[in-house]
Amino acid sequence: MSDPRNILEVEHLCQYFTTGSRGKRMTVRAVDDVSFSVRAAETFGLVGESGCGKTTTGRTIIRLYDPTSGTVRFDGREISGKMNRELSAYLAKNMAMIFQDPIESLNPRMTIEEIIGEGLMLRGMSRSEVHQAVIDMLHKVGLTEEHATRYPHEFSGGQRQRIGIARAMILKPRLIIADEPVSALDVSIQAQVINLLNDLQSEMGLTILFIAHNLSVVKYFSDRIGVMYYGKMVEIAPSRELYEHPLHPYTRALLSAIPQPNPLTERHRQRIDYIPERDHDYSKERPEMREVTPDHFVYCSSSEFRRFQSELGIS
Amino acid sequence: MSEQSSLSQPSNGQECVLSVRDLSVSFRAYGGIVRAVRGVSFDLHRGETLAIVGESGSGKSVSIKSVMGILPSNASVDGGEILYDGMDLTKVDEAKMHEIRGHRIGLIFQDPLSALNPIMRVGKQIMEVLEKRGIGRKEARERALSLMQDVGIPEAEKRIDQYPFQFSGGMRQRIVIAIALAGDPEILICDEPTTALDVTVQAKILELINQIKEKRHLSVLFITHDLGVVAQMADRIAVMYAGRIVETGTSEEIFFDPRHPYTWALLSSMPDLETYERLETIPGTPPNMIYPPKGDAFAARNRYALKIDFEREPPMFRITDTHMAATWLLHPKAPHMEMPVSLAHRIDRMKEAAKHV
Amino acid sequence: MTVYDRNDLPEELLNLPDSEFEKAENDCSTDERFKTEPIGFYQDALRRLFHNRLSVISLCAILIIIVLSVAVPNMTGYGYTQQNVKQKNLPSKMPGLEQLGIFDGTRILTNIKKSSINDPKRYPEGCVLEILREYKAGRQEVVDVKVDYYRYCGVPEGEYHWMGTDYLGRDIMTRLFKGTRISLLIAALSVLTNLIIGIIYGSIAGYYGGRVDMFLTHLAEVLDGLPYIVVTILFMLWLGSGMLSIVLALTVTGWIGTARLTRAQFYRYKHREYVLAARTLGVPDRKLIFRHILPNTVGPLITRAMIAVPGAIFSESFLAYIGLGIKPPEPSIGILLSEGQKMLLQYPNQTFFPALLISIQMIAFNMLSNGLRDAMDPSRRGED
Repeated sequence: MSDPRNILEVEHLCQYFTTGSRGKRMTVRAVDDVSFSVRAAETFGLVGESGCGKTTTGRTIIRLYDPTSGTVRFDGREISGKMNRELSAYLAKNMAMIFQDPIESLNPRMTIEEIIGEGLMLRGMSRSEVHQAVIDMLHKVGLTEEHATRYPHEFSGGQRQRIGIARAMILKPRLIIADEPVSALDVSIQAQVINLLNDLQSEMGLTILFIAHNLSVVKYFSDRIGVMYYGKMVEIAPSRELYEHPLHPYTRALLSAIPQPNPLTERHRQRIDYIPERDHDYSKERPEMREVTPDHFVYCSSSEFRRFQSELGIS
Repeated sequence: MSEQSSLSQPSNGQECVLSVRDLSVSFRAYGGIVRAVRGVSFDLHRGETLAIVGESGSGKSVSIKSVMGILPSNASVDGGEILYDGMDLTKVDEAKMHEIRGHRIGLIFQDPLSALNPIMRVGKQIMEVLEKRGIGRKEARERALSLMQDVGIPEAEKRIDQYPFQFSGGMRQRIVIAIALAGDPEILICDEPTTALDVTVQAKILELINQIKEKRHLSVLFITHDLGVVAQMADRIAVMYAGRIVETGTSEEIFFDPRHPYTWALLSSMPDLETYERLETIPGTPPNMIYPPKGDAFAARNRYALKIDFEREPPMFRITDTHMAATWLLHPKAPHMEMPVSLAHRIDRMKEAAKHV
Repeated sequence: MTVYDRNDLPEELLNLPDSEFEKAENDCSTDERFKTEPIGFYQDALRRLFHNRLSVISLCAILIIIVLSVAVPNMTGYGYTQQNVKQKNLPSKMPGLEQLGIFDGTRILTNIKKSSINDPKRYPEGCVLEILREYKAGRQEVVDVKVDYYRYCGVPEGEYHWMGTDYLGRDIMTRLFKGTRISLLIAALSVLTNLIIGIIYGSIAGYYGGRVDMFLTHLAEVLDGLPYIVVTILFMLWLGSGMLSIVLALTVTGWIGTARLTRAQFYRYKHREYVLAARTLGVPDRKLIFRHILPNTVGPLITRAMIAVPGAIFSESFLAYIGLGIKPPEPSIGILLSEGQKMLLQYPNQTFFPALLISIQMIAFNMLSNGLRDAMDPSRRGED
């Protein structure tokens, strides 16, 4: 998978968490052998339902967790190895994260200027330089200089999320990991934040790993989409292709479940259930990631693979 | 022009089971009085689903809480009435209200976990409602079992003696629905029942509510902010903003012929699976309801605002027998304004899609 | 609610001026401006603290007691160790109030030979104010009299002991406020050391978690098991009785509660998204602890420290009361109480004043810490 277009390559990433004491130890496979790659300046959407491991994947890439196994390469450099000061600085310089909860993700004891400018201060910039950079950034996200001295609790959800975006963007990272950046916001505010992310992306040439459970938003925002189910990546495809030709039964179920704002079609919509035991027979064949059509990968067995190909009219 | 015409008259010969008139609710809060609901009127007809749509702070939840008589202690009903079965629920005492809540009106909350007693077996929680109605223990258990089967809980026999934490989110919501149904209500109020659930689970719960509604001839009052969910559930829709209903109509009218700029903005601000163009946004944030703005509360965020919007609150204009909107754009003197182009496109697309069903 | 037909509008609506229906110039591109001044967390907390009447009263009471404990021992004109065996166990006498018949330095003496009243050597001129009762005990004629005890003991006119004197004739008010000063000092010192040790210990355990946490928590549990009276006695033996050994005794186990609280707060905050966000920016551990996590735990910690102050005062008094306090003749509230208690029935004033003062202190500190807890509750930010 060494495509020169790739900026981020994730290979066989596993993240297990153990819980319980020595007596009965439980291992939760939050991320289980996940591989995908993200191309420079594209938006890669990661969708799945709660507990599918999409957030864990994002957090492991940016090293909030130490991966159990597997490798992650950013711009050709391995970033999944042992943590040290140099790697930490490299990560902080190249990646940033936007969080879900606009209330939780800002320190209530710090002013907006302190919050946004913290990353710059750490890099040894002078106070006045930081101040100027913060003001510029505030303007970019639609806030004003007046807001710099305020504390987070005075802002509305959408404004706070824009502050979170400013904090991530001010270091001019090359990769942004956006973890459900709009799902805690009101409908009318979501569009503001999505548009802002879109503008900033085209302006700064960013690569975005967009994590969300809302498939309509991911579809709208992403170039390619990876679908996760219980720690596994089950399908990766360009977003339009995924929507027009979903192959994995889980993807189909997910697509059929999205409520569409159209009363006429919605009342007659057929929902599809996904029941792994019924939909797959992996007793004889082992499933793996296979490329059904160029750029369209599905986690399937070889017989499923042939079936998918014939469905798409390829033999 | 008669004062109450279409509001109390059943629009198409349907019987009205619940009628809210000019309801106003406010909260005492630090910093002042929050005018959460400012004169809301709607009717719920027998056998229909009425969806109330709005963002957080629009007053949709507060309206419903006043119907259920479960307003927090710092809230007060300032005016209006809630007519149900010949009673005004704003004036009914707590004991009577309790009886109504248990039997006649069922309630489903957003968070199933907090609606259930964590240390009580789920079967017991369903039976409790049944026993209150004077049903014997043994029969109550039988009925609880069949209710659990009705709401689609597999292996009900086994699961009736389990505790809430042993159920997944979707299954918990099914238990909550079973408890609501145990009182054999005629009205079911759903306050964002699927917001906390995953999409695939949400789809199933919505389907279940629709099934139950058909089977038991319930009238459903459905609160949500998700227009996709509304499209699936609602017969009629009321759109709320800043404590008022700004537009109401049948589902088709609201989705295919919206008239209020806020409805336009709401419909065009979320991408659907076929959106590629830039999203329309509603600028700014909703007004602080401690100081409700003069004129139309939406005016400051409204790209189509007229001068009068900043002066005077628009009255409800009738568009059809069922369709009404509170915007000055409907006044004969108002200039003609088209809805956003992207929304017009989307509506065309939706109509096109509907042909293929 | 009225619904209007568009083709059938009332005159009033139909005749609205045309100009009203022009499109408004509506610039909705900017966010709403703030109407209020920016306010920091501590400012906000203080503002809310001062809105709470009980907290303000408590704070005033505490400040007054502190001022008194500094000023009073130098103002009474008596030294706190100054004895006068002739003027022992004097009742309280306060200028002004004496006119009202309370705190007037009188005492009722019972069972006195009637003949001795007229003996000017025993009962100086004018000291007998009133004969309350005359009766016979056996063959003796005895009386109950109300005497001006100050004159009876030969205290010069114009000399006042506001709270009376103790069994060695020392002025109780001087000793009480001197004792309060010592008690407050001990409390402040022990709470401060407890806070410092507890915060550092708890921060390390809470932030790093895992094995470090397990080791530190178990160690604290072992220390917590030590009976602190025994520890105090050991310190007394080692360092002699005095302020240092009491502070140490109160510290040995006192910090554990603070450490537990800090650790719990760290567990609560270290997975918050803003802490994660700071980590992704490359903020070092030290800054994460002191800038991002600790400031958010300040509320409960300050509240706890405030509650610990009356606890420490009380512990110190308790130790003094059972004889493990600071060395006599140094006073402390506990010593005054234990001395007063021996003569509670004859001279209740010797117990009353120390008991009153310690009660006021404890109530005031508790009230203030309640007020602080509410004021610093982050969920109530921005409220009045």
